[in-house]
Amino acid sequence: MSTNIGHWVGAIFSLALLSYLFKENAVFRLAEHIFVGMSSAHIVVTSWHNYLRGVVMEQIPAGQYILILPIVVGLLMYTRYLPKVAWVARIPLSIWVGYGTGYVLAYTPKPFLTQIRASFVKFVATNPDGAFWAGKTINNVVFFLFLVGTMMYFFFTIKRDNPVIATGASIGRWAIMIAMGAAFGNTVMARTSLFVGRLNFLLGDWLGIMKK
Amino acid sequence: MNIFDRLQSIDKRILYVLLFFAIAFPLVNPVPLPMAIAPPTRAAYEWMKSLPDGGVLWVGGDYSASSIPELTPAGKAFVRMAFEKNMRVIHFTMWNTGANIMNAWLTGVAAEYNKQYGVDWVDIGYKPNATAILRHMTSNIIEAAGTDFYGTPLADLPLMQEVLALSPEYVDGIVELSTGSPGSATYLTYVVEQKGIEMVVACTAVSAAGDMPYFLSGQFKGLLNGMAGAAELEKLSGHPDKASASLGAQSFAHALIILFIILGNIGYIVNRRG
Repeated sequence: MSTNIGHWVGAIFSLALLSYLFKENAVFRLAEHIFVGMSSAHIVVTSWHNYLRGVVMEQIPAGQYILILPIVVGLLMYTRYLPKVAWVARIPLSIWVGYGTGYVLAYTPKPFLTQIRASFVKFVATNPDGAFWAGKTINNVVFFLFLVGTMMYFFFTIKRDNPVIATGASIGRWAIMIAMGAAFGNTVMARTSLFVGRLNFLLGDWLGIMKK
Repeated sequence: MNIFDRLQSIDKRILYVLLFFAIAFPLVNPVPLPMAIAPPTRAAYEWMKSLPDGGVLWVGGDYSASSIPELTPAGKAFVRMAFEKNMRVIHFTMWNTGANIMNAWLTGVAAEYNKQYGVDWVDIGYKPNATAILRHMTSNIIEAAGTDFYGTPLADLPLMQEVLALSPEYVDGIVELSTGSPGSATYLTYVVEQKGIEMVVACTAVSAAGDMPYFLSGQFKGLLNGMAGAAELEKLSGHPDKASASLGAQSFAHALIILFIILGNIGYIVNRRG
């Protein structure tokens, strides 16, 4: 069994949080509140030490006075607590939204266009030697059918009584269900991994009963 | 209540207890199981092997404590491969909780290979405002980040005097350990597509379905899916570690869950017909 106090604290809090699986209880709530409080404090401290301290204590005193401007604009957000001048808070918010929107619109089309280009697949695939590649061909045909079908499923302005649209939408519905099944399976795997990780810690690092 | 009704209303606490034993038993008594290598993992491994000896690998450690079991083993396998090729490693995280997690294991792996901090590897640590900082680093790392994890000015570190920007002139590839946003999509949008640096991603299994299209389109050169992907890379790189040791437990847990899904469905189908 570990003699490391960090392992003991981690183990006690892990067990406290896992106790929720039996039923909601005070020990779980205490651990949850401590975790939330510590996470908030962690964000404040790391933001200060990793960035803000350098700007406020070093860069501005060194003559980079332009950095005062965004600080002042940011602080205007707090005017929302003063009813008479609460409208001023809209200024930093509008700058933030405008900057964010412009930033996203400037950079996101490129990866999206690459995705569209990658959807243009050959129906008859060949391997690097130039010979017919049956497996890849089947994959590409299924990919094409599912891509077009899924897009047809989201034609909300066209009635489904058209047989082409109805068939396409039906293929699309199957594609979506298969994709969701895959996503759900992956989610189960991820959650299991978390539990495996916790038991690795509890049985190995804390209790020391796992074989090396 | 007949047995088929009971199959559909098993107390979930019974399932939790069984799940505990299904995972704990193979952890305490390891059960060797065969492991197939998924094509996206093999692609990531081949990509790592193709990087130049002595080059520079950028590691994005964008995760928190909940993703340690899935992403830390993957990160360790990548960094071990890099150090074996005498590559220099630079780490940066956009997650405030990622800084301490990454620094702890990076320090350990660097010690395994007697790598010197500042010369062979640098930990920039966490900087807030992810996209702006990342974008700025594509033109000037020192100006964008300023200091490293320990508060040392980056300009004082020999490696950072050589690697001036997050661009193909200075960085040979990116390994992104991604658990959400900011993460793999942030690097893809602001660095990979804009600057043309190649990237492989190790993601949590939850994100795998969302990240897979980027691998299929070639935007990611490889993709590790959760703990399974990490175990596969550990096997390929010859460094079995926690992911490999945990995969048996995960298989037992999955088998139990599948069993209960089948039992629940049998109960549902029989009751519907009856």
